[in-house]
Amino acid sequence: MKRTRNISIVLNSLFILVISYVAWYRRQEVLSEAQEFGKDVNAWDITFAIQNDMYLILFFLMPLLLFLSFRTIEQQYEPTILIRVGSFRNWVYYSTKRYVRAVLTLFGFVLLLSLLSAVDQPFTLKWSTYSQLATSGNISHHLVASFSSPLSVIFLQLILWLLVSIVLHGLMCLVFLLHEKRNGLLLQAAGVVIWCIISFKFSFGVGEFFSPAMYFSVGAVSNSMPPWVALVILSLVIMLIYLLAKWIRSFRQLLSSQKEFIPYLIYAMLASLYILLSSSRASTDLQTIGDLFVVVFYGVSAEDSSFLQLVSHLILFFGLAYLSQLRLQDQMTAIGPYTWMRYQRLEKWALHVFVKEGRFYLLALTFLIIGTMGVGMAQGLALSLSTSLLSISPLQLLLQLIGISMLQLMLYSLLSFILLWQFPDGYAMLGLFGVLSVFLLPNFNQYGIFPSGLNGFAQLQTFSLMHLLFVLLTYLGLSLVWLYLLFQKSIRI
Amino acid sequence: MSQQIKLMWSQAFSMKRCVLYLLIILGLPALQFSFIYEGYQFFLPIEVFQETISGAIPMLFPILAVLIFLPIFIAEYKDNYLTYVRTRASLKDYLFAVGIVNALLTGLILFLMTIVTFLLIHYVEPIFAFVDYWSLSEKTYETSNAFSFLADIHPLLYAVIYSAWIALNGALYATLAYLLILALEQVYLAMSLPFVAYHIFNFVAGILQAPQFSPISTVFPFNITEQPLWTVFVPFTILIIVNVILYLTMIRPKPEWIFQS
Repeated sequence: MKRTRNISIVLNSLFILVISYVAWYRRQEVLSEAQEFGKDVNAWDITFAIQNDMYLILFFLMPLLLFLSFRTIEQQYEPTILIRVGSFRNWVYYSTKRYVRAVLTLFGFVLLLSLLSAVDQPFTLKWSTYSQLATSGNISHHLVASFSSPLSVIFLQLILWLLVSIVLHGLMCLVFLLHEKRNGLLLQAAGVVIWCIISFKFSFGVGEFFSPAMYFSVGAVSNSMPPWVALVILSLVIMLIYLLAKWIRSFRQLLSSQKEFIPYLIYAMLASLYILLSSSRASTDLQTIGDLFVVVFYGVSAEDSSFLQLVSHLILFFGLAYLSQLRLQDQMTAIGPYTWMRYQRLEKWALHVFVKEGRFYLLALTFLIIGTMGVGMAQGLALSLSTSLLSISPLQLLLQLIGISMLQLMLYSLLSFILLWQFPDGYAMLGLFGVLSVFLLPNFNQYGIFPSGLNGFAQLQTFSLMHLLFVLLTYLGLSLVWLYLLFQKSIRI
Repeated sequence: MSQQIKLMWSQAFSMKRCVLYLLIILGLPALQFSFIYEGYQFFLPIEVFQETISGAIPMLFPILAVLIFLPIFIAEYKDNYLTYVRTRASLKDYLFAVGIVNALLTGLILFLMTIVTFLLIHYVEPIFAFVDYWSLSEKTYETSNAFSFLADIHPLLYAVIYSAWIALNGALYATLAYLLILALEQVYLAMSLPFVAYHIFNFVAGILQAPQFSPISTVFPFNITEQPLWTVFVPFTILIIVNVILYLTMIRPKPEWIFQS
């Protein structure tokens, strides 16, 4: 007990020491800058400089606030408390109330020390002449544009501290309730700090908008949006937390029962990111939707390829084949006497499996095509399939995009199926993916005879559509014969 | 423990496995060399080495790392060998020994692959003169990378340190797959995830226009312009952190594996 009290005294002293040092340092900075430009300073200039110091917020207050949030959640998440409060929503409310009580003391200190640091300067209800000075370090200069009186700033600062603390802790609680793990909570806290630091250091707009650290400073908020908008955003987030806390039980059930959808979700995110970014980068070369199809589904060839095109093709098409592989594995492990009774013949069962996979590929391709068209239309591209980037007709474009892609994807699945049948351990499939990805490399498929990546538009620079069709159909035919022979040889039920 | 490591180490050198190791050490670089020794403009043997190590090897890197030792462990795992080990030895020691042998053997094979390729190209190839070198005075572009400063000190120093770098990364990918097998208990998913993650991060780094942080360009930094050395440690550090987190959160808490410290 005594030891805990001693630690607490040391931590509090350390906290006061750091805040006092920053307060003294910022005060000196403001005073020397005002002296340099011959301007008068009032107490608000120093107070706001301390309260809005982003380094203090990011590297000291944020870790401290997250530590307090971590400790509150860790201490309060107990069966007895949960039974007493009755629901997860009530627990979030209970925990947030305790957290806010703890952090308000902390902010009280910041407020007190920032005011005490300026106690020798005049407290007026107007902005000083220094406040009008446009220098990079003068935070009051940003505030003057948005606020008529310094009093409204201090009032808003207090509200922001309160609202952001509620949001920060509320979100920490919600995410924690999804996994309920102490290490996960630690990771959450570390993630928030790293996110805030990265978005501040690299100052990218979206990052700052979603960074809680920004909302702790009136200066940073008024720099990027009207202050009332920040209040509306924070209030909406608090309402959202309230609603989400109400549905947290359903979310937990959904998360535990729908784990198999995670790979599909990751694929969808990567594909969307790729389509969006590649279309915006190539926007100057694009006139029609056909042009956009060529850019997005370009792939690689011996003539023309880049690292990004290579990995994009890998992710878009090998990604789909990988998802299909995971499904195939499930199908293979599910095979048993009942499958035999239902289908009578292995060929019939295999046909059923491939029809399902075919449907999956068709659906995924449709989504990719519709997504690309949507992005193109949003960019104002003409709704036409003709393209000036390659000398191909709209019909050839469609055949390559849908027909050859379907054949190529079905071949990937057929090869996976055969290897899974022969080597159920799975590392043969890994080898298959390795070999196929090597054949994507420009040097390895100069004659277009290996069945990998033939559905990229880059292939049409070197080979005709008939050549690609012939190669794929030959491989499909050979694979089907191979599979037929395998089925004749063994029944693996 | 050392007895188990020795036993496992000797198991990893069956005739079939040795052929696989030889294929990795000599076969893959030879295949890539056969594509590049003609038609490319080379000024120095080190450029031939870099081009030989590029292409198929970076593409397959996590697969190579995973296929060196783990199939032996998977065969044991699938045959419920772990259940029978428990009665004869400490499962904790056994799994730890597997982890050590997996990392060491993967590191060794990948180290040999890189250094043997370097030695053959730098010291043996000039005797046969397969490659036509251009005069250095005609060189108009830079081919240096994050590790090139080592070659300026001594080419062998570059070869040894770069090979050790490849070995270290390979060992980390192999360890990641091993930890995933223990954590997920789904062999194919666990073995394929390092490869999938490797290419997902290559893709994300590519579309965010930060290839200097992609796993492929930090392990094989020959496809981008010279970057500061610290950049290669970014994905490397992430990989270490992922391995440590995986161990701490998913392996150690498993009570049936007696992973108590």
